[in-house]
This record gives sequence, structure tokens and C-alpha cells, in this order.
Amino acid sequence: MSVKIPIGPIHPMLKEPINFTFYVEGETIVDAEPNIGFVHRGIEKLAENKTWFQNLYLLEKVCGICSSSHQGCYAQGAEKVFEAEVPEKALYIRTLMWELERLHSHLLWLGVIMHEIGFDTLFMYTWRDREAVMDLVEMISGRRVGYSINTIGGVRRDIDYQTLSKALDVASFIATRAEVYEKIVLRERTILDRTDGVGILSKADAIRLNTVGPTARASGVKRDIRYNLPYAIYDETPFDIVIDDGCDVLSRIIVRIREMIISSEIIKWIVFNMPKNGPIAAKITHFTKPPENEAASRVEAPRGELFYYLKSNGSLKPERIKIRTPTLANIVSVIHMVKGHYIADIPPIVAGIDPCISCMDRVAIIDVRNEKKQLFNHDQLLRYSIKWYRKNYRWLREERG
Amino acid sequence: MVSIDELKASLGDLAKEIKTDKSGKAWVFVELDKLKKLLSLLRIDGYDHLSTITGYDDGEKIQLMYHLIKFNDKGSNDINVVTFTDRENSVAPSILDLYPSALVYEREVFDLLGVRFEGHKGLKRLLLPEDVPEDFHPLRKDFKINVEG
Repeated sequence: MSVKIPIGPIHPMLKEPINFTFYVEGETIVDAEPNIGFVHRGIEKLAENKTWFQNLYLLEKVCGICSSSHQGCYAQGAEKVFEAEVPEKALYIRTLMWELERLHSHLLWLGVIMHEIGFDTLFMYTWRDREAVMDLVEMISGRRVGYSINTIGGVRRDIDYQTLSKALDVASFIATRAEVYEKIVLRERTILDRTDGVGILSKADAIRLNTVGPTARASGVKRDIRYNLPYAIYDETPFDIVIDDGCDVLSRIIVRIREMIISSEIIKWIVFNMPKNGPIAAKITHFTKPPENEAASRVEAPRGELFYYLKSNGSLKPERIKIRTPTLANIVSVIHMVKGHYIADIPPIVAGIDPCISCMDRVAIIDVRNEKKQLFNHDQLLRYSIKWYRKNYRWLREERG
Repeated sequence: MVSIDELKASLGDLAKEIKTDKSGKAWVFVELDKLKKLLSLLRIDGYDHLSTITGYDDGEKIQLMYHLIKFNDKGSNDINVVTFTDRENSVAPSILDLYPSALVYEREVFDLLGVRFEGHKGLKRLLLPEDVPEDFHPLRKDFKINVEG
């Protein structure tokens, strides 16, 4: 299958290209301008040319890390369009996958942010622990990424007792590890120097700029789609929303670490309360035609609110599919966050919203005073920021208290 | 869940039509010239979160859908505001002053559907390269792609 002209939603996630232009005065950033669209693949247009069921596997590939959130969000919207009743057990399995995804996504991000500030030891530890979740996901679905567990009307695979008991082990393991990480992050001077007081986004600004996900919750905004607009089984699930009012990169780390503990608790609750028998999918086949309908679907992906709009025209193919990923929603906040900070703070701030790291590729730094233009790539910027902090950390500590 | 009567009472005759779908979500239809007034009323009412702006070409008109959320501890509401603009002369008022996050969403709709937002300074393409032709708007229905297999 070949498509002539690529168009569609962009997806600025990890390891994908995006370009920022920062305007600086000396070391201080006065303005920033993101330039996105380098990985624009035309998925929205392509989805209009595929059937409802083919789209399940297309839209999963919007993102590699939160593939289940995308597929689940699409399936959830499509169920509203098809007016289908989803069996309860399917919702439990779907939610289990969502929470496992949150665990491995947050662990991945924790490693990335530690790498961004030059703390590669913790990066190695978190990615080792992430393997426990990845193995479990592989046991449940057969694949490490792109699990394809959802279908319209339910899920595609049942889950057995051995796997459920393994899920309990993994949840306990990750919860204990998360507590260790929280201790390390709050005590380690290297981390505090680079993240405490960096990338400030006040609560009022987070609300004004419609920031989503853990980034907003780290600014003290108590907004979580799982709690505010409950979907699947979240209205029965007991859980707390993690908020922190530090408003800086450190709080974003803390919020995500604590969310891992909450997710482990949700996983345990799901395992204990999952219906033992019953169907796992409604009877919708590849040749079921939906009524003319439209639906908006939202889930709380690991990075924040993920939004899908689906419209059907009564045929086998959808009329319009609109995707809004959490990173796009947070781009405006990033521009606001970097203003007034130093060039050396760019890596942790931009990584703080959990976007792509290759964001940093081809960063252009323009000095407003003499209009000198300097191009950095990611590695140079990392080395520059670590060196700069080595030189300047003493007075910075005093300045930031 | 938002009740239709409450919405009708607070919006008055600004809305052309208010309906709910099967899952109980409200869809508010509004004329283009009253859009900004209605959105500012909703903004004051607490609908301060703009999820996104969806543009959709139905063949005759271009639909713009504003998906809003009002966050509340005791029960949040989400509603969808729908308005229509011409296909030939696609213009809509910019809502940047009400919702700063519309910066990227308006650029996206402009890029893919060719709706010009009046009052949006520096409205330019978001996703497609800047050197594509000016009337190149791929999400319009008359734009066909070749799909084999």
C-alpha cells in the first residue's frame, strides 16, 4: 500500500524531531518558537480511507509508548459511534493495560529526564526496572510495544490466573522501586541543583494555558480525566490524584513517581476485582456498519489528556477522525516555561513535559543583543549545559536558596 | 452531566440549537457571528479548558467544533460548540484572547482545512512545510489521495 502525499496529525513524542528557536539575551531566554511537523505522516487523512477495524491498528501506531491509550481511546469512541455495550471484563483488561502503560511510560521518562541532566546511573536503574513491566505486557498481549489488545466492543485476548498473579508481583515491585526513587530524587544534590526552581509554571498559568496531565498536576492543578470525566471502570476504582505545588521540574518528577505508586495500587485493585468469567468482546464484526453518528472520546494517557473525535457516515469507513495528543496541548506551556531561564535549563524543561528528546535536535540560539546565531545539536547542548552547571552551580545554589 | 435546560438558561438565544447525544454529551450549535460571544459566556461560566478545535469539511460547509471542559470536583462537564463557515471564503473569528492554547489548534485548522482566523497574528502553517502551494489543504473532501490495495 502506498500513499502519494503524506498529511495528518503530528506526533511530537520521544525520539522524534521537532525544532525550537530560542531568543536569548546573554544566557537568559526571552522567547521561544517551536517548529513542528517533521514527522507529519498524514494519519488523519489515511484513516478516512480505511475501515473502522483497520484503523485500530493504524491509530495504535500514532505513538509507540502510549499505543494502548491511542487504540483504547479510539475503540472507546468507536463504541459510542456503534452504540455497543462493552462487557465488564473487557473494561477491566483494557484499564489494566492502560495502567501498565502508565507505569512503563513514567519509568521511561524518569530515565530520560535523568539522562538530560547528566545523571546516567538512575537512567540505567529505571530502564532496568521498566523491563519487569515490559515482560508482563508481553505475557498478556504477546508483544512488548503495540499490544493491539483493544478491539471495537472489547478486547482481543483474555487474561489467565498466572498472568494476574504476575501482575501483582510487578505492581508491588514497581511500588517499592518508586519509593526508592522518590528518596533519591529528594536527597540527591545533583538532581536538586538542576531541577529545583527550574521551569516554573504557576497554577494560574497552567489553567490559562490549558496544560494537561502530570505537567498540570505538578503545578497544583487538580485535573485528571480519569477522575473528572471517568471512563471505563475509573468511576468505581478508588484512587487519589497526585498533585504537587512546586510548579517546577522537580515537582514534575515527584508527581510522576507518586503516580507510579498510585498506578500500582490501581493494578492491584483491578486484579482483585476482575470478573472471573464472562465475554471479553461485544459482537461487532469487520462488516458491521455503524449508524450515522459522532462521538468525542477522552482518556488520560501517561502524558495527559488524549482526545479523539470520530464521525461516521453510515459506511464501513469513518468520515472524520481527529486526534489531539497531549504533547501538542503542552507545547504552548513549554514556550511559557523556558522564558527567563538559562540556556543550560532547556533540556530538563523541555523534557519535563515528556515530549521527544530529539526536540533538541537543531536548536538555534539567537543572541538578541548582537544577533549572533549559533546552532546546537542535542549532544552539544547536553554537554554545554552540564559544563555550564559545573562552573556556575555555587552562586546558583545561593540564588535559588 | 450538563443539563440542557441549564445551558439554555445561561446561553439565552445565542445558541441556534442545543442537543444531546446518546451518551448525554451536549452539542451546542451557534452562528459564526455569535461564536465569540457564546464562548466568552461559557468561559466565564467555568469552561476554561479547550481540548482542541476540530475542523471538518462536510462537502458544503466547513464545521468548526470547539471541545470544552468545565472542571469541577463534584462533577465535570464537557460540551462541544459547533459552528459553520463557508467553504469558498473560509473565515472565522480567532479565540486566542479567550483561550491562549488555541494558538496551535487554530494554526492546525488553517493548515489542513484553510480556515483563516481573523485576529490571529502570525497565522501560518503548523504541520505542512511552508513552501507548499497556498490552496493546498489536504483534509478538504475534494482532496483525493491515491491508496492502493
